[in-house]
Amino acid sequence: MTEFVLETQGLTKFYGDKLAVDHIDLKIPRGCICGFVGRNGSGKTTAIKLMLGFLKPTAGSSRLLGCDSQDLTPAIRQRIGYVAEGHRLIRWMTIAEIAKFQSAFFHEQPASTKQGEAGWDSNFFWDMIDYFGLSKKQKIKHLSNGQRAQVSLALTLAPNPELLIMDDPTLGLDAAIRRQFLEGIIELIMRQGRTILFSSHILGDIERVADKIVVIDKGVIRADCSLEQFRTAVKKVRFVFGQTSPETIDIEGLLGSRRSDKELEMILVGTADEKIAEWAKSSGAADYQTINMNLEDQFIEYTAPAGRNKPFTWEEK
Amino acid sequence: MALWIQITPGSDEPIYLQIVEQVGEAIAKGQLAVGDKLPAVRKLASELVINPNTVARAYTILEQSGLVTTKTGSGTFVADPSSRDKDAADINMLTDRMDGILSRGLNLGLESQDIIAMFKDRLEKFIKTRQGGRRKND
Amino acid sequence: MRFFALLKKELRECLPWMATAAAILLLFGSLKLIDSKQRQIGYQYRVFERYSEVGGYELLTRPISDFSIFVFMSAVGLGLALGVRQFWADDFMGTWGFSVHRSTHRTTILAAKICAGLISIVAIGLVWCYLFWRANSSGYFVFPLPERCFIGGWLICGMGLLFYLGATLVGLSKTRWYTTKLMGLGFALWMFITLTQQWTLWWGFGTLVIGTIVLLFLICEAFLNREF
Repeated sequence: MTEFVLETQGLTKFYGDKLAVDHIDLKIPRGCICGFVGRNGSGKTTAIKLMLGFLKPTAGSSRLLGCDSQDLTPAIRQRIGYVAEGHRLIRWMTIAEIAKFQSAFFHEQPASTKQGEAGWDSNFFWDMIDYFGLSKKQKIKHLSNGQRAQVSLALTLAPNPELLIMDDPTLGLDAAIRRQFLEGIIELIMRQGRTILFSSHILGDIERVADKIVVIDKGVIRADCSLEQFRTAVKKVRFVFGQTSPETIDIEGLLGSRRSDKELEMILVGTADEKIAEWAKSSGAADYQTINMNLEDQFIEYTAPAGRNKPFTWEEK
Repeated sequence: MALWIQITPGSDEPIYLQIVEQVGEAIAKGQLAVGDKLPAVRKLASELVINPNTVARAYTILEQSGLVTTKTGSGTFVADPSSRDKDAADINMLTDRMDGILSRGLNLGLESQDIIAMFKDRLEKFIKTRQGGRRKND
Repeated sequence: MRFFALLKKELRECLPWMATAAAILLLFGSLKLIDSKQRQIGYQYRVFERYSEVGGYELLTRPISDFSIFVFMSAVGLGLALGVRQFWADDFMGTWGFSVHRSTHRTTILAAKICAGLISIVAIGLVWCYLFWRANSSGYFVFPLPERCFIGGWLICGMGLLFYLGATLVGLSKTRWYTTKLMGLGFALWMFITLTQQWTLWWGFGTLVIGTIVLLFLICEAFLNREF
């Protein structure tokens, strides 16, 4: 049986009347790199805060490393790295001081690839700081957003976390720093048994790094499958008709469509190629063509208003 | 070994397919000879800044199409061309691609014989590069 | 040790406020000492002391009234400033995520903050000790200030503690309605008024202790249940 490092069941959060997160069921196995995507205000940050025990759920529950989120023990928290949105750190401290503060919460230990061993790897931390071109006497308040993100990454990776949760870590960072951030994540992936959950708007980053994609929209999980499955499932098909294109469309998995006089473009989710061919034949299409989409377009079409009622979840076997 | 892979996230084509294509092209052009070792999964993932599973997937597809073989413990190597069999799906993909090129050519106003001449020319150049590559690796 | 790392951080954050409040008290206190030295007004206190044997009321107010306003301003000012700095600032700066996701219990984090606040208020008390000692050295007052007045000064520092805890509770409150949100300070104010109703030592310390216990209890509950 797969061990789930992160599990939620029916996780729900109301802010007064407003429903922020609606019955989220997630299971993330060990070693999975999960990209958590959603539009602004879709509930990503709320979901993450619920998982980390910063918010109390209105209903449902979640568990991290087998421990209930509302009762995370210090030992469990030690194994979880968290990068909050905006990379806010203690402003008055220097890099050396904040490293000392952070390291006080871990045992001093060289890098270890064994599970369950959180330890502060001082060499790794200072190697990263050197690589970023920062110096130990610099004060956090004098750093740019990008530099602060770099320090935040070093502080989070140096304790060798088993589970890393990042809330929009590359938001507002320039391309070079975003690349460094991803390099850091890839470096962590290489170590055995590390699991990462990161939320992002930047689908290019998700595409590079994630194994699994979870799409959240208005507090609801709309997709939960491997990245590859998502990429193959969301298709754009263009049909050409000799006569006027049909007004009513009846095909399984229709997400949305655009019509012009003799052409019809459909966005389909999970529709088998045979069904497409069948429909083309039965509707009298002269020709049709499947057009490749990039991940960003797929995401946009998938979360566009017309597609709201089409849940798409694949069970991980 | 002259293998330089470049990937573009945000493209229509998934990253693993981009790798498959580029390795395939390198083998076709002779930049990679039979028996050459492909970069290790982790090393390539680190360089390209992508998930190692993506590289692994690309290598698996290459192996399934007979272009490479994996020896556990040693790595992934370019396979003997005689071991490759032409799959119907691969041929379909080939004809699909050809259709794309042909439609572009015809839309540009090229004549059939021009298009054929262009194909012949490119094929000759390709073979020449491959032979040159082979000689270099001998 | 984790508690000490947290305590060190909290103390460092309280330091500028502590130093400013202590400096203000020292400055005005010293000015008062110099002023009284020049005027030699100590003889007034003897009169009040005899008169007040019966009432007990005047005894504390008169002698320390010269210093009391400065001790009050410093202690209460510091208390409010620290309450804001420790519990409101993180909200504005968005740093709760970094502070609370630590491998310690939340109680440890809270304890470090409250200890730092307490130490800061005690620092004001120590400045008062110095002023009292100085006032009782030769040349400043004709007759020395009695011990009860010394304790009275500490009582005023205690008021500072009450307002610190009150401001803390306000900072931790997440209610939207301003009346409920300011309940912490409201309570501190109520305790303060009660304390001054009867200016005797038992009443004073009794109110202080009860007020502190109630506020600490509410603060613990608020912090442990708080959502960030």
